[in-house]
Amino acid sequence: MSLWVDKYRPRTLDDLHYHTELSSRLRSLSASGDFPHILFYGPSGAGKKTRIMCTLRELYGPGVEKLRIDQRVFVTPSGRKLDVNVVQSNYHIELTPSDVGMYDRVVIQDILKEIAQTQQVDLNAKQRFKVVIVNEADALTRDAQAALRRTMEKYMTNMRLILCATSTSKIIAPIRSRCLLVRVAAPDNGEMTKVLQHVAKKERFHLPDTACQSITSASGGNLRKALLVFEAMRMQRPDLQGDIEVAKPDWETYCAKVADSILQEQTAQRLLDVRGKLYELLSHCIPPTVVLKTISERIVDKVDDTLKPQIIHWAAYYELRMRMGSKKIYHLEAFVAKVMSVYKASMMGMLEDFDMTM
Amino acid sequence: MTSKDTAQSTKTSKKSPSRRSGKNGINESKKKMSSLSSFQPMLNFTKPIVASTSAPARLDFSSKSTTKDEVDRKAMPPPLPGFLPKSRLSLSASTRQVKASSSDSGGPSSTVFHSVKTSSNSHSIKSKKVIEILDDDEDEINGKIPKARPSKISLIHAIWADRFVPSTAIELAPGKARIAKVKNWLSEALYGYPADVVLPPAGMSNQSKERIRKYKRILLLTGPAGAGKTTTIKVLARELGVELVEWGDSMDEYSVGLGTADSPDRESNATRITNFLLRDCFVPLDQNTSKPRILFMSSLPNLTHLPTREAFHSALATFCKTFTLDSCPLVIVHSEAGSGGRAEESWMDREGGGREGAVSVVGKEVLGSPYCQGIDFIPLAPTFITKALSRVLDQAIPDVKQRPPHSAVQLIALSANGDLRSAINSLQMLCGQTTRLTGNKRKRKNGDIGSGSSRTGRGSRGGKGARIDVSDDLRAVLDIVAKRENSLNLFHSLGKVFYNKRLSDPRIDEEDQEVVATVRALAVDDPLPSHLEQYQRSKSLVQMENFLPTISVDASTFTLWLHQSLPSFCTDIDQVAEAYDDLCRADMMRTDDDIWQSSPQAIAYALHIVVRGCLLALPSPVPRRNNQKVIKPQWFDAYRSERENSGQINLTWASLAKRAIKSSSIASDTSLHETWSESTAWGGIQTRSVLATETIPMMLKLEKLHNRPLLPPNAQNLSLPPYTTFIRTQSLDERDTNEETEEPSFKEEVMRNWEEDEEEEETSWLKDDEIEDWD
Repeated sequence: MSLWVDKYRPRTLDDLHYHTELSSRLRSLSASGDFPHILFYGPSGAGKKTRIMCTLRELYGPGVEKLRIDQRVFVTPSGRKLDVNVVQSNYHIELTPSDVGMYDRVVIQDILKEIAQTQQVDLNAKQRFKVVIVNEADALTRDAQAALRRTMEKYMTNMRLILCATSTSKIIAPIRSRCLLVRVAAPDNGEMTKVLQHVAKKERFHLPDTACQSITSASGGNLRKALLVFEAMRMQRPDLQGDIEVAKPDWETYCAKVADSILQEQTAQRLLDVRGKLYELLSHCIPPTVVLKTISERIVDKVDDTLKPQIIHWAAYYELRMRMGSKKIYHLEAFVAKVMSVYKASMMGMLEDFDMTM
Repeated sequence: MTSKDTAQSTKTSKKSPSRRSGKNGINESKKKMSSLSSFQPMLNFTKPIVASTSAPARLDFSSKSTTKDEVDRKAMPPPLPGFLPKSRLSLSASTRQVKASSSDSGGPSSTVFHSVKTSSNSHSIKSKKVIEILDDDEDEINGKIPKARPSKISLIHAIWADRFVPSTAIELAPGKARIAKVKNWLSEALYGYPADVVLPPAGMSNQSKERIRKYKRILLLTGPAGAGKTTTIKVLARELGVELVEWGDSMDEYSVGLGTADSPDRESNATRITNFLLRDCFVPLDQNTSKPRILFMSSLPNLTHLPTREAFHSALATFCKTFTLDSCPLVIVHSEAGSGGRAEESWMDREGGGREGAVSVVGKEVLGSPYCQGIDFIPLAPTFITKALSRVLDQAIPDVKQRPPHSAVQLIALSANGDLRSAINSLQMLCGQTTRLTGNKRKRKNGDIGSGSSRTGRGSRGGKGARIDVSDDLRAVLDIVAKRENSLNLFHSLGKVFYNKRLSDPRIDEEDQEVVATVRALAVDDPLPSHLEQYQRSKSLVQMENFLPTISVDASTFTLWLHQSLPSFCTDIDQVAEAYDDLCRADMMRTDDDIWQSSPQAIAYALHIVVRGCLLALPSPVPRRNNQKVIKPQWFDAYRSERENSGQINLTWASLAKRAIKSSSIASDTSLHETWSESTAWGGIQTRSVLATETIPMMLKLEKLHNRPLLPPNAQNLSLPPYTTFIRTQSLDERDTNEETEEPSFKEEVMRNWEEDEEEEETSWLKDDEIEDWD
């Protein structure tokens, strides 16, 4: 049994439902024999990975889908060893070096060197080079990016890089200039509707417009999320008629409830209660920045217009500090305390006294 | 060669020749052998005496009186009081006869030594000296050596933790349920039925016993240091009459890796373990004399070294599967870090600096298999430690008057953090300390300088009730003794911050008068300008220069403790917000990546910011309420479960990826368009955050709706517990009022985290009909 999101994932460039112009460009690039390094960027769930895999298939044919999964061990200069999961076929290798944190440079260097120094053994291969897919390229450390830049030039004959990132802003300029930048924008509502209807047709049922609309608006341009939500809703109510609740992940509703309880009562005791919930979220590996964002969005939705900018301000303020610090809970809680304090002040009609300069 | 040897021995020993003539026969033959076999070492070592183990060498060695003392004791039991050289001679003569008749390989050297003494009359001065030394020790020998371990020579000088090891299971410190569990396991593993059944159950066939034994192969005891793991095993083994075969970690550090062909004589670590497990797992052939055996590993090989770890894991896996009637079970004892409640340990955990979880000790396959059972020891509760300490005291200091007061023992137990070994060490040090302390006092008072009786610890000083009342000087001694993770000090310093005492306080406690005086003496601060008036505070009684050094934990742990309990001391949310703002600011100075590298100055600054920020933000005076409790930071638990869950996410990822890859390669094989709909396309590696926030939560949801398994069973833990709305619990407040709010009460609050006793788990053992063959 597989999820719809996997089951109906397009396998070739022709199957892709939107960004058709981009698809045809990728097709002609693969045919040209002069394939460049590419940097795919775009928001989560926009279809970057799908496009990358389609491009590979265009390059090498179906053989590229014959995958295997390896656990590689890398040894840092300090002697510590790192386990990295690597997925590869005969023609490409895919890895997420940012999983190992600040040691990503070692992984990048070792893998790239290894790939670059081995010639393509398969004589029937359509291309002379192998492809290395680097996920989360924007999470690479500066060192790793520098290492990447050097190898990109050195081993161009044997290897092409495909980087995948959510934005180009955290990728150093030398890499950006050596890559073909391909933006994969999030699908708009019309495009998403098209995909959802396609899935519904394949599954042989009717998707009412109202349900479709609620799904697209709830998923905010993230097609993966939309399909997951869609499948869950279909399971809940097979006919999908009337106004049905959008099936959100549990932690989102959890965050919303936390936000509500913050607005309910602003005391130290309530803060201690909220802390327990925050710990619960963090211990389930929900990234703290996501928690902060979800809670603050919910609060912004609920409070008076005059307070909104302040809430956003403090969210941004503590988000920055959280990225710089080490114990995330301090910053999350500081945000909660600050919001409570701000909200309480406004409730008591003391907004004039509050320092608006911030 | 022989003549050279003899020459050397004469030169170094400087003893009369008549001695050697007495045992010439044995000596000569031994010498010949040794000089041939130990030819190589003699070239390498500058001191041939050390290198060769021949009789003359040993003779020279023992000619120094102190070492001789030791050799003496090795050879014979401690002498009786009033022992005379003469009787000694006869005794050693008799031992010689006994030794000579036995073919023990260790025998000759000591026998030779005694024979030397019997034949030399000129040696009497020296032996007198020896006897004096023995006389000194004599009372201790009579009074204190437990019957259980009389064979150890160095016991007199050993630390108490080793000397007063419990000899029966009743004396063991860990909870009874846990011990019973271990005992049952051992018994099941050896005999096929639990220990609390006196006779094997009537209907139990040999076959069913075997089946139980088959699945009792490895027992993994984990827990923090000093929780009594090793002691439990050793004592239980003795009670069950089992021989423990211990894996000795005496290897040379250099031969890690898999033994190479060109150095066949040097077994590598990995092969040695494999051999240990395979060779020793059978009962020795000589059935008559041997007891049942248990393999016992407390020092593990270097598991951070990958080849060693792999070899070890595969050795364990084979060990599990090779079961015959004669094989014996394996017990692994592993001390875990991170339960001590120190923030920095989390960092060390992550780096994996030799501290491994249970999974990496025995390997995933073995841990998941029914062959392996893990029993987790928890830090000992203070009451347990107190009990154990009193037992040790009973044995160590027979005279009740000379013992330190009971309150001091309690204090040690409280501050030991669940580590019995360190508690006993502290106790031993304390007894040494009180001796000196009170001794000095006496001198000052009475001028009784020449008094030899220095042990006059005052037992009467300690109060009785629930409150631990220890006199100041004893407390000072205890501070020195149990400095390590002194939770008392920690609470003391936390209290100083939380109560935020200032000069302007309406009521000043008695104990603070001194501080108040010193603070009053300080120069008066200039008033702040009007735009900063909100920060104007009266002078704090916490003077940073004096306060910071008294903090007994590291800066980030202290910050965690402050963070945990701060809100309950604030009256308004604004104060909390302000204090937390400073916590954040300090936190930024120590980033995750370079927690070790960040400069000590930065750490000091961070601590300053935290403490000053809290003091500034807290109300003044802090109102005393019942629900103000200082409790252990939740952070540690949250951190641990975050690690566990992220491990689960990785596993889930791997299983999802495997599934997708399998179906996609099927598709690529057939490469027919029709089959596509049945297979999954590879969507690339999903990042961890996408998995945690999107895929896994939704899949869990779908699973519930569908009733079809989408995720591996372990991933079920990843679902969030239902959101519980906060109810202002009346019961909570009631409980608070019942509790006394004096200082020790919030310590007990912390201790609540440690289970008092583990009655909860019913010790069920494996029933025959529960066993399914597992592969």
